[in-house]
Amino acid sequence: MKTKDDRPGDAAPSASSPLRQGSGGQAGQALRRQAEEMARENAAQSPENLEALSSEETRHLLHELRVHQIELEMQNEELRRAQEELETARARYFDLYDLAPAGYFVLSEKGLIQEANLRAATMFGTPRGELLKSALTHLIVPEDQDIYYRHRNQFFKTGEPQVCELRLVKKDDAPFWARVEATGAQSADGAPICRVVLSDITERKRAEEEILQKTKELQEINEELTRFTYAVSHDLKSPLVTIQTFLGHLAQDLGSQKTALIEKDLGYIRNAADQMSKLLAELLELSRVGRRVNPLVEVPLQEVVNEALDLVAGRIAERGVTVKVTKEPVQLTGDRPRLVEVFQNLVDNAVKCMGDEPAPCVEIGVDEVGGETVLFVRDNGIGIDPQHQTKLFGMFEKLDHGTEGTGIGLALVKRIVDVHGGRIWVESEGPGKGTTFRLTLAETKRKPA
Amino acid sequence: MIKGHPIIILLVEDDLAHVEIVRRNLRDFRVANRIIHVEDGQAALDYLYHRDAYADPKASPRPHLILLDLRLPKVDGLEVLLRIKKDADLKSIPTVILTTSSTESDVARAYENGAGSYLVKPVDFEKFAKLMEAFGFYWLAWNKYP
Repeated sequence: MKTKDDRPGDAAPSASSPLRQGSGGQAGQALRRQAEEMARENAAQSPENLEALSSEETRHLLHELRVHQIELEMQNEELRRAQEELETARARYFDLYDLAPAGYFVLSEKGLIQEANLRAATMFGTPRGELLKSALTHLIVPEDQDIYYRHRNQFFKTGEPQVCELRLVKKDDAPFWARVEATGAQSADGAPICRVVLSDITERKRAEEEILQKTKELQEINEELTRFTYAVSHDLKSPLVTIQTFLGHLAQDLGSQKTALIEKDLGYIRNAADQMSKLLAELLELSRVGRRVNPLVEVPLQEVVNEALDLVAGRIAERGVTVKVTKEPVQLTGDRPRLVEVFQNLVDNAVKCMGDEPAPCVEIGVDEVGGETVLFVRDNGIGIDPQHQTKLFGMFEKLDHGTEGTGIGLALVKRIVDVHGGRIWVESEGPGKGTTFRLTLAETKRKPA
Repeated sequence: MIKGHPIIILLVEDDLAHVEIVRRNLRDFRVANRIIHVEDGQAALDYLYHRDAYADPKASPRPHLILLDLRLPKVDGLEVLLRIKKDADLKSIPTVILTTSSTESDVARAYENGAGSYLVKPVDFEKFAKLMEAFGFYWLAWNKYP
């Protein structure tokens, strides 16, 4: 439109079409009407009549054309600005929608994913295209399908926004915990849809589980403490009752000079006092076991066992017990003095429970049970009735009166084994059939001979 | 003091010194020979059901009264009590708890399990003697048994 030869009739439509594409609104239509009107007017003064135009008329026409040109340029400018704004808005939309810190889905009524933001695709480690048209249920781990099922039911029943927490499948990775928040809406064509916001809550879940675990541990410690206090109060009170009562009897019996009774009274008092001091010593020991004081070391089983056997050598010799220890090389890892205590107590316990077995024997060895290295201390003594076996590791529990001790030994062993991340259990076919204690300790290694 | 029918007490107690205390204190009631002592919960049940060493009902007569400690080896006192009170035949035997424990939960559970009375062993010679005296009068002189 830079020369006089340009046909003004062409100018209007060519200017109007991009406008209609761009804004397409009423302003565009008005402009079009205006342009067509102008074209018609101009047609009256067609080019063949151009020479008939007076110079006044020509100037007027030229002016009209110039104004129109400026108008078009302004429109064009506006159009460019609108387009820029549109781009900015699109970038902003991408930023807000696709890069939002939460996954976003639009689900159909049947639960198919109709839309997904980029973040959702990233969360599942899969391209967005793969998510679309697949059902959300396919992305939930089997164990949590029920949670989602109830969530959906509740959502459709109440029509209220619903929240649930479940584990979602991530491609080529471990499932992750997500908070799923669903709200209802309608699509442009009026179909009911469900908007879903997903947030990765794996970290929070991990922290929650840690808290649960810690709480459980604390509860266990608390329960143990309660049992401990109970046992201590009872077991310390018992000998105290004895001492107090027999002191009373003693005073009476001294008055009446009953020598035989005096001896008996003193005997009861002495026993009770011994019982108390032994109990106190073992309580102290038990409280020490809870704290692992020595560094972990690797030590051969035989070394630990031999040290333990030395400590109970007197009792072993006295009862004439044969002790067999496996020759197989086994490496234990743990707090060495505590490990010695384990075997010391188990062997001591075995020797005490020999009854009148003519050929008492204790065997210490190692087995493989279900792929796990299991140590054992086996005896051919009085055995344990299966129904009493659970009581065995309780604090201050004694199964038999004929035997000595305060009932702390096995509780101590269990505690040490626990602290070493192991387990201990007992096997016995019953009274007279001998007893086998089996235990595992974390980090026990069998070496090929 | 007691005329006529002798009263048989089954004393379930693992502390031998305490057995002696009970025996000495009840001696005045001339029932010492009627105290049958067992050392743990399992033995108490074996006795009552005439099992093993107690198979002969004549040698192991049914007790009129059971005096039961709570912290017992093998089967603890609360469990023994529960089994007695669940047994159609044994449940009519009055069972008195005699223990060092004054723990509330023990007291509550003992009564829940059907204890007839709950006595705490006093840490005092005089008091223990008085308790056993009162116990003797009540259970051995006054109480009427089925």
